[in-house]
Amino acid sequence: MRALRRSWLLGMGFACILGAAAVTHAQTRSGADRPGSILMFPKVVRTASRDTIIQITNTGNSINWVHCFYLSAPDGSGYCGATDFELVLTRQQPTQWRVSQGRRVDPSDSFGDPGAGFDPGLIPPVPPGFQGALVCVEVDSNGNPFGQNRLKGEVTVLDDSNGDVAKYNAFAVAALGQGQDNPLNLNDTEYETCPGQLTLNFSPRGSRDPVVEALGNASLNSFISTNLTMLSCNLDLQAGVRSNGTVSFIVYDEFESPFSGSFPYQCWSTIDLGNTPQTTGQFRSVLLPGGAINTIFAQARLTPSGTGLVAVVESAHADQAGVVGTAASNLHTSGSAVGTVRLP
Amino acid sequence: MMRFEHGEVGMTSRRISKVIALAVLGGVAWAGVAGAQKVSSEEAAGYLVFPKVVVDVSGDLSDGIPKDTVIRITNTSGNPSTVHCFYVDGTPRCTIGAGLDGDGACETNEDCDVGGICTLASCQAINFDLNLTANQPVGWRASEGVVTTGFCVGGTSPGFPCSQNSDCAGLGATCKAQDIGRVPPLAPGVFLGELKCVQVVGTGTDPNLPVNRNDLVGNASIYRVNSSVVDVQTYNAVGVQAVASDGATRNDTTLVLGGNSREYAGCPAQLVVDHFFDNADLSTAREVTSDITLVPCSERLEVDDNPAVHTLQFVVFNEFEQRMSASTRLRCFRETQLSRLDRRPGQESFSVFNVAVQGTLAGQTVIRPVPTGNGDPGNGILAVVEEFHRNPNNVVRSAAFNVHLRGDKAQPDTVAY
Repeated sequence: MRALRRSWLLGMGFACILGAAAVTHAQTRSGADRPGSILMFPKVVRTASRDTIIQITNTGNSINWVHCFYLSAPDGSGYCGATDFELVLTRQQPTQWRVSQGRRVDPSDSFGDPGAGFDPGLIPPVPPGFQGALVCVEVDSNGNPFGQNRLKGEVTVLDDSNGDVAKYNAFAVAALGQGQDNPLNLNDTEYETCPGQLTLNFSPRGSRDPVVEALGNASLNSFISTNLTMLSCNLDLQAGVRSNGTVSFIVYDEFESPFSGSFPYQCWSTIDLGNTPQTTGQFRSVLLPGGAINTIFAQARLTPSGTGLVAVVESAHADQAGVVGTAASNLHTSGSAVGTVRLP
Repeated sequence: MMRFEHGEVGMTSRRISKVIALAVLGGVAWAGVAGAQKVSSEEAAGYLVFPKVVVDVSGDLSDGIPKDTVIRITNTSGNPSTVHCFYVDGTPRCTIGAGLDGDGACETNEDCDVGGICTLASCQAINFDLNLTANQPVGWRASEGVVTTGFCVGGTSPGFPCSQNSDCAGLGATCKAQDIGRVPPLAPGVFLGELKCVQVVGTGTDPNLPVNRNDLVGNASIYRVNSSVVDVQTYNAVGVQAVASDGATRNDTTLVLGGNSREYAGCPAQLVVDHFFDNADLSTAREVTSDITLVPCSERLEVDDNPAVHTLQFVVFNEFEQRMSASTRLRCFRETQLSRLDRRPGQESFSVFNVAVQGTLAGQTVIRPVPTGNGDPGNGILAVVEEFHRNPNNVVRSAAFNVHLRGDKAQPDTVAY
C-alpha cells in the first residue's frame, strides 16, 4: 500500500514536472501583438481634419461580450471622464467604426457600406475636438468581467485634409483566469501587469529627415517631430478620478550621451516631445533653441512612477513646403508594473 | 519485498515528498523562466527580423515615386553589443531583359523582354556587422548604408553621416568619430527584401557566434518621397528572444527557434491579421488596399540557392462571421497585395480578400503554415502589413502595422549562416 502510495506520489511528481515542461511553451500574452482581455487604445482623435477608425476582432470561436469606454481628460477639467457602450461579437467576428460617426444598429446597410455586417451594438460618436483613449473589457452576458483573451484591435488615424494615414495596434492585457471581479487588478494574478518601462526609438524635434532631404523638397529645411500619447493602467472609469504620476526618462543619442529628466502624466496625456519645458533639452535637436541632441537617431527609456503605462508614438516628417507624412507605431516594452481598472 | 520500520517509512516518505516538491518547484521555476521568452514586435531580443526593406530611389516601380527605408537598431543594454546582419534579396527579376532598373528588377512579366518571366530570382544574402556601444541607437538609409566613420556635429546637418569635416554643412560643423561598422548600400537599382540581425559575440576566432542575450530592438520606416509627396510608414522589427540570457557564447551558427531543443523562442503557429478588404471605401474619398509581406522563419542564409517552398493557408472572416479560405506558396520572400494572393492581377475583385466578394469593410485573416512533416526545415512565417489609402485624384498615403501572433509551433525552425 505504501509502495503504491509512493508510486502515486512519484507519478504525481513526474506529471507535475511534465506539466511544467509542457507549459514552457506558454508565453506571456500581454502586448500589442497578441489577443487579450482588456484592449487599450491610447490615441483616439476627432479634430477638424483628423478622424479615427477602430477595429476590434473576436478571435475566439464563441460569442464575446465587450464593454467599452471612451476616455478623455480635458485640460483643466480635473477629471477623467468616460462614456461607455457595449458590443456583442459573434465567433471570429471583426468589426469597425469611424469614431466621428459611431455605428448604428441597422440591418439594412448595403453591401460594402461602412455599416455592412452584423452590427455589434449601438456605438456612440465622439464629439468634435475629442482627444482621448478607448478601453474595452471582455465581460459575460451580465456585464461582469470575464477573461477569455480573445480580443485584438487596431487603430487607423486618418487626416482627411491631405489623405494621410497612421496605424497602430491596441495594447491587449491578458487575463489569467476567468473569475475576475471589479476592480480589475493588473497584478499578474487576475490580469497580467502593464509594462514597467517603455523604449522609444525617435528623432529629436527639429532634426533634418535624411530621406526627405535626399529625395524630396527640403534643402536642409525638413523637420521631424514626435508626439507621444500615454494611457495609464490605473483608471477609475466609475468615478472619473484622474490618476497622476511622473514619467522619468533617459535619452541616449548615437554618441551614447545620456540626457535625463521627467514629465508628469495623468490618466491620459499627450505630449509633443521636445516642445514642452520638461522635454526641450532632451528631445530637441541642437538645430532648435535649447536643443541638446546632436544626432538624428536617439532612444528614450520611459519609466512611469507607481503604475504601469501604455503608449503610442506618432512621428511627423515635413518637407520645406509643409507637406507632412505621419507614421504611428507601438513602443517597445519591458518590465512590469501593476495597475487597476475600476469599472462602473 | 523490502520492509521498513514505521519511522523509516515516514522518513522515506518525507524524503520523497521533498524531492517531489523540489522537482515541482524546479519545474515550475523552469517553466517560468523558459516560458517567458517569446517572439514579439515589442520586446528586446537577440534576433531581429525586419520583414520588409525596400529601396527604389529612382522611382522605377509602378507608382513612380522614389522609395527608401530607414532602419533603426538600438542596443538596450548597458554593455556593448555586436550584431551580425543579413539583407536577403527578394527582388523579383526578369529571366530575360534588363527590367525596370537595368538589373532585371520587375513587377510583372511585361517589364521583361519578350519571352522573359518576372520571378523571384536569388534570395541571396549580403552580410554586415554593427558594433554598438552601450545603449547606442543607430539608424541608416538602406539605400546609402553606412560607409562613413562619424556623424556631423554642429552646423546645419547635425547627425548626418560623415568621414571628415568637409562632409558636414554649415558654419563650425565638424565630423565627430563614431564608427559603428559598415553597411552595404542597396542603391542604385531596386531592392526588395528583408533584414535579419543576430546578436553575436563579436570577438575571438569566430566573432559571428550567437550569444545568449536579448538586447536589441529595431524598427523600420518606409518612405515614399518626391517633391510633392511625403508618405512615411513605420513598423517594429519582430524580435525572437534567446531562451537563455546568461551572455554565454553558443558553439555554432545555427539558431534553433522553438521545438524541444530550442535556443530561441518558437515562431508563432498562426498569424492573425485584421484588415480592411481590398477596394473598400472608408469614405467617399478614400479607397483602401493592403499589401502583405511574408518571410520564412527558417532560412539558410548565404548557403541556400534553392530555398524550401512552404504552403500557407488563409482563413478569412468578414463582419457577417462568414468564413472563406485561400492558400498560396512562399519561397524566401513574398510581397503582394492581399487580393493577389488568390487571384491574378486584373482579377482582384474575385478575391476572398476583396470587398466585392465579402461585402463588409473589415475582415480577419488567420494565416497558418501547413506542416509538411517530411523533415524539411521548419515552416514558420513572419509578416508585416501595409495599408494604402487612395483618393479620387490617385494620391496614395500608406501605413504599416505589425500582425498579431498566436501560439507556438511544435516544429522547430532553424536559421543557419
